[in-house]
Amino acid sequence: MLTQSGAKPAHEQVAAQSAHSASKMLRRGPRRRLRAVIAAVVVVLGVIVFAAPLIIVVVTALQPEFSLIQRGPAALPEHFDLGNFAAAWTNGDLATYYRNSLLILVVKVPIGIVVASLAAYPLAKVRFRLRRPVLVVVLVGLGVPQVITLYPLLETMRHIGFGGSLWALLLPYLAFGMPFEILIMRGAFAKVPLELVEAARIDGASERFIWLRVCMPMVLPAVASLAILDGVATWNEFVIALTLLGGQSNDTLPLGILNLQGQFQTNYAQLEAGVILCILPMILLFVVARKYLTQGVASGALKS
Amino acid sequence: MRPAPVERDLRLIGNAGPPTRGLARRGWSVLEHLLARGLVPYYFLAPALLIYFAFLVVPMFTSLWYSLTNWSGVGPMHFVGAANYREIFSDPGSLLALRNTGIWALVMVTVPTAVGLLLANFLRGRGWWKGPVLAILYLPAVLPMIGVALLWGWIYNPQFGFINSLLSEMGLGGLTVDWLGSRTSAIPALLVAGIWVSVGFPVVLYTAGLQTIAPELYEAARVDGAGRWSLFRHITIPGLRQMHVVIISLEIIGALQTFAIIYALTAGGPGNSTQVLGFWMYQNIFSFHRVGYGSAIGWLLAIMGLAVAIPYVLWMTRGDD
Repeated sequence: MLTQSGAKPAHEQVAAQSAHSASKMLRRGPRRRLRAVIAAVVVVLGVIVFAAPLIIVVVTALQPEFSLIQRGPAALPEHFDLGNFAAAWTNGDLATYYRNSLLILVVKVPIGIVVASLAAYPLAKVRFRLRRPVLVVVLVGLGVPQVITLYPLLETMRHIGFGGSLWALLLPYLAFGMPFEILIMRGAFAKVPLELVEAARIDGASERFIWLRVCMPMVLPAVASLAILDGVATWNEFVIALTLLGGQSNDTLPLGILNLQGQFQTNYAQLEAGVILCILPMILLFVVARKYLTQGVASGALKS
Repeated sequence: MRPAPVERDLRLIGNAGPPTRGLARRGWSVLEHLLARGLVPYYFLAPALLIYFAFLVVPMFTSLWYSLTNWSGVGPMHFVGAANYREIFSDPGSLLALRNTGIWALVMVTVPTAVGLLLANFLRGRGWWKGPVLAILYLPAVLPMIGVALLWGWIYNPQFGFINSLLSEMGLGGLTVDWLGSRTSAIPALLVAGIWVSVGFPVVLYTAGLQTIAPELYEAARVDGAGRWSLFRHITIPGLRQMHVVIISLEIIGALQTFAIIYALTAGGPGNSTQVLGFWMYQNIFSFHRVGYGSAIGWLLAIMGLAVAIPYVLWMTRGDD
């Protein structure tokens, strides 16, 4: 147990080890090196097991149907080709679903952020009597299950003439996004120094000016995080779209993938290629904007 | 409250606004000031509150009203009081859905939270590989649930799925199961997929929380001879108290809203064995045309959600005003 660290007890070595960098660890005798190797193997195996579902689907989608049936999904295929992706794209009419999902995304996210940051500003920076009650009522929306609003929403959309159309999603999406967006924007505004806001007020600036010209420029990182998180939620939303949309030509991508399931019941390679095309934008976004995503999630949780 | 400087200047010029008549004029300007200043927060809040009330709060309470009727979606609507709620507790389908929703919430609040805490603790500190590992753990959480469901449906496929193929190839063909099609294995199989999606969230939050614990605390305890477990038990766990509340609340709320994976993979079957309240409500309203009864099931779910969300939000906004 005791190698170079003299009389130090074992737990102290471990604690010290975690605080040091990997290169230092390697300089410390064979026992340590062995442990580092074992830890690395465990981590790599763990990551492979965790990512296995994604790896399996990619391998499935990359081989022709006959190869899959002959050799089974657990064998390494001999043939690879991208034909399933092209077939899923055209046969599944994925272009339509992509277009619909993108349309609702580019309209919903900016409107949601502007409306939410307007509301978040007084909740963070103006004192008024109903501040906490308003905040509580809005944030409690985080716990309202979407399913309970579906039937009334469907009726409303029929009444106001949006029945079945893609734009029926806009207002419910805005409403259900509001609690989280206000939570994040309020947290961001709360970090803007109050002296700055007070100074602007003394100079006679209007609240609108303070919101737009003083506060907004200081919370742009939060806006970026929020835009990404909100974009992900909008892209992935399922149950409201399932209820309010009518007809395949209006469907968003999650519904389109379900249509694929009905269409390619037995052609698993093509179906899984469609599944990959459905999750691919999120994986790419994740690779590009990982920091914003994880920081955004964490900033919503920490009390400001 | 004095009139605004601009107004005073105009009065000096003497050709704008009503003539000043002492107190009366001053009273008006106080009112104007209150209106102008006091209503400003509400101007800012108005668009958000309008959308929120019209498309979340109003539909929510409309469905509360429906839950007290026997409405089918068309035709006459009769008030039936709490009859729908009483029916929930004598209807085996609803009781099964309630039980499964409870199981789902219980598993989601324990397994991802505990595993997430251990992983976050393991991924602590420096190391080039820690960022990517954290990212891979969080990746499933940003994927569309329908895509995730179909992905796992393929792995669980009885004939061509990865698990059964692997078992057959290893000569364990006798162990193959129709994972999603048998009453005993369907719920555990769905839970595995659910855990896969939800484990990343606690890892990310606990990782952020660990950065707020002062390293000096550990130093001091180590000097006092505290062991590894002792450090974890007495410094790490209490230091993450805020995060525990956030994670547990949000995991419960998320678990209560389980819908897409059930819809895509089992539709509540076989024989209602994987039924959850969200999907059971949807089926009652849209397949069985029981808008009243379905709304009552939905409100049972909403009450459970609000029972978590209201204390959570009050705790989060504590000390605000």
